Amino acid sequence: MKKVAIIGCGQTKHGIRTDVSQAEMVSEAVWRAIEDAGIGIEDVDAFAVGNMQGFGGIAHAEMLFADYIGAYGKPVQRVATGGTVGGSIAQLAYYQVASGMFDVVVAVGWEKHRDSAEPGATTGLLHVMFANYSYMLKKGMSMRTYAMLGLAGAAAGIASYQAAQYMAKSGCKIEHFDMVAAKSRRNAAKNEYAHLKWPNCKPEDIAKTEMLIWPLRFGHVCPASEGASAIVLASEDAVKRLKPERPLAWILGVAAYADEEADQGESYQGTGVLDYSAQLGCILSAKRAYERAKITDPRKEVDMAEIYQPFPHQELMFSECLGFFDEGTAWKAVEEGITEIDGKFPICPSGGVLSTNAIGSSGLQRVLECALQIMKKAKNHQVPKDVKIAVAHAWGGQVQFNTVTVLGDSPLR
Amino acid sequence: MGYVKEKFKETKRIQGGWNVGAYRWKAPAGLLDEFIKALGEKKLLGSLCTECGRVYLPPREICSRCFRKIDAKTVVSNFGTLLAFLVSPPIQKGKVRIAGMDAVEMGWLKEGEEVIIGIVNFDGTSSKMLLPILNVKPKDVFVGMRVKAVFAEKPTGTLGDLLGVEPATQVRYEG
Repeated sequence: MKKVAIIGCGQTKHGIRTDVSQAEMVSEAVWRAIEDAGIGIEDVDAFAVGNMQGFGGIAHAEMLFADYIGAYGKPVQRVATGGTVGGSIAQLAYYQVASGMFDVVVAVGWEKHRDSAEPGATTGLLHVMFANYSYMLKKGMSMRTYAMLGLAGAAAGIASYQAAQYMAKSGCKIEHFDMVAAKSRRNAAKNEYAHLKWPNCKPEDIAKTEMLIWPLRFGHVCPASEGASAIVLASEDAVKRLKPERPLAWILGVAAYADEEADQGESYQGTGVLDYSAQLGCILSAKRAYERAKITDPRKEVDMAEIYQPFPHQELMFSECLGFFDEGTAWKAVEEGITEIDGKFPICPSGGVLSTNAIGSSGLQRVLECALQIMKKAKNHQVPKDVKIAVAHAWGGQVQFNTVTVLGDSPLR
Repeated sequence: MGYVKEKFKETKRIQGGWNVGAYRWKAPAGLLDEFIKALGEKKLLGSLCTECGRVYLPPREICSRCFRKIDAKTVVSNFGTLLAFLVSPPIQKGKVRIAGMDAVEMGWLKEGEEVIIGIVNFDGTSSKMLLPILNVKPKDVFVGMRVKAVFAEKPTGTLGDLLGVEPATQVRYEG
C-alpha cells in the first residue's frame, strides 16, 4: 500500500449560505483546497464526494457541480453513509490513493439544508422512518402512540435515549452536557469557519436554554449548518513529484465498522442494539485503526482528537470508546479542563459538530481539523501543545456507522 | 475563488413539491400476524434464532448477528427493564404537527401532558422496543425500572393492542 498525505485543506464559511448555490459552495471548498496544496486542477486524478442523501431537496447534487470542481474527464464517486458520510469520503479517498489507483484525489463533503422548505428532514430523514411508520400505522398502531413516539423524532430523539443511557452508566449529570456545549461554543468562536460562535460561553448560559426533550436542552443541539470542506490527498510518490512547500499531515490508519440499525428494524422488526451509548462499532474501529497506525497506547501516543459530537454526551461517550478515558469517566476530564483547547488532551478545538453541522462536511471536517492541528495551520484555534498524532472520528446512520482515521506528522515507518 | 457567480447575490427559492407520500414498501407478509394475534391474548411473541439463541421482539426474519433465517417463535415475558427514557416538555397546542395536523386538536396528545417514552428490554429477549411509559409521573421514572406490558382491554387485532409499559414491582431491601 502507498503512504498517503494530506497536502491541502479548504473550507467554506459554515452557517446560512443563501448567497451561493450548492455547486458554487462545493467549488469554493475544492478550489481553496487545491490552492492550499499549491497544485493545479490538472494534477488531480479523481474526486470522492458526498453529503446526506436527499438533503436540501437535491438527491444527486454531484451532477450539478461536477463541472464546477473541474471533474470533467475524471472519476467522481459519491458516498452516502448518513451522518458518517464525511468520514467515509475521507476513507474512500484514502483507499483510492493507498491502493495505488490514483496519485492525487480530492475529497469533498457538503450540506445545504435551506434549499428545501424544511431543512433536510422532509426529503432526507423521512426516507429513514416514513415507510416503517406508515407500515406500523397500517398494522393498527394508534395515532396516539404514533404521536408520542414521534416526539423523539429524528436524530435529537435517538441522541436523547443515548444521553440517558450514558448518564445511567457514567453517573454524569446534565450540567456536564452544559460544560461540553459551552466549551464547544467557545472554541467555535475562535474558528473562522464555524457556525454557532459564543465567545466566553459559560455552562450557566447553556443551562438557561429550554429543555427540548429531557435530558437534552436547546443549547445541547447542533445547528443545521450549510457549508463544504475539502482535502487533497496525495501518495508519497506524488508528494515527491509535486514537492508541496508546506507542512503535511499523513494518514496512518483508517477503520470503519457497521452495526444493524438501532432504533427500529425494517417493518417493525426487533433490533439487537440495546445500548445506544455502547457503540461497539467505535471501539472496534478505533482498535483496528490504532493497529494499522502502530499505536499501542492511545492515551500516551495520541495528542488530540476531533470527535463527531452533534450532542454533548457524544463527546464524552465516544472519547471513552476511542480509548482516551476509562468507561464512564470522561465527564471528570471535562470538569478538570483536560479537554479544553489548552488542556492536556484537547477535544474538538474547532468547536466540533456541536457548533457546526453541515452534515456531509462534518465528518470530513474532523479529518481536516486534525490535519490543520498537525500542520499548525489552525490559526486562532491552534492548540498550544505540539500535535504529532491526532484522531478523527465520524458517526451516523441509525446509531450504527463509525469511522476512525488516525493522522500523524510523519509517514508510518 | 472557485466559480461563484458574483452578479447573483442570493439564491432564489422556487416553489415545488416531492410526493413521497405513496410508494411501495415490501413488508414481510404475515410476519406480524402471529405477534398481533398474541397481543390480543395479552402475550408477547418473539422469534428465536436457534443458531445463537437470540430472541427478537417484535419478531424478525433474519438474525442480524448470524445472518440466518429465523423460523422458531417463542412467547416471552410481559415484564422487562427500562433501559432509557425521554420526557417531553408539557404538550402545547400548535407545537406538535403530524402530516399538517395538530396533535392536540386531533386528540392524539393532551394539552399539558408530559409524554414519557422509553427503550424497553423484555425479559429473555436480546432486543428492545420503543414504547410509551404509562401510568407514572416523570419524577418517578428511572433507568433500570422494572416495567410490564399494558394491553388494550378490548383487543382489536391490531398493533394498537399493545399500549406501552407501566411500572412493575420494584424490589428493594427492606431489612
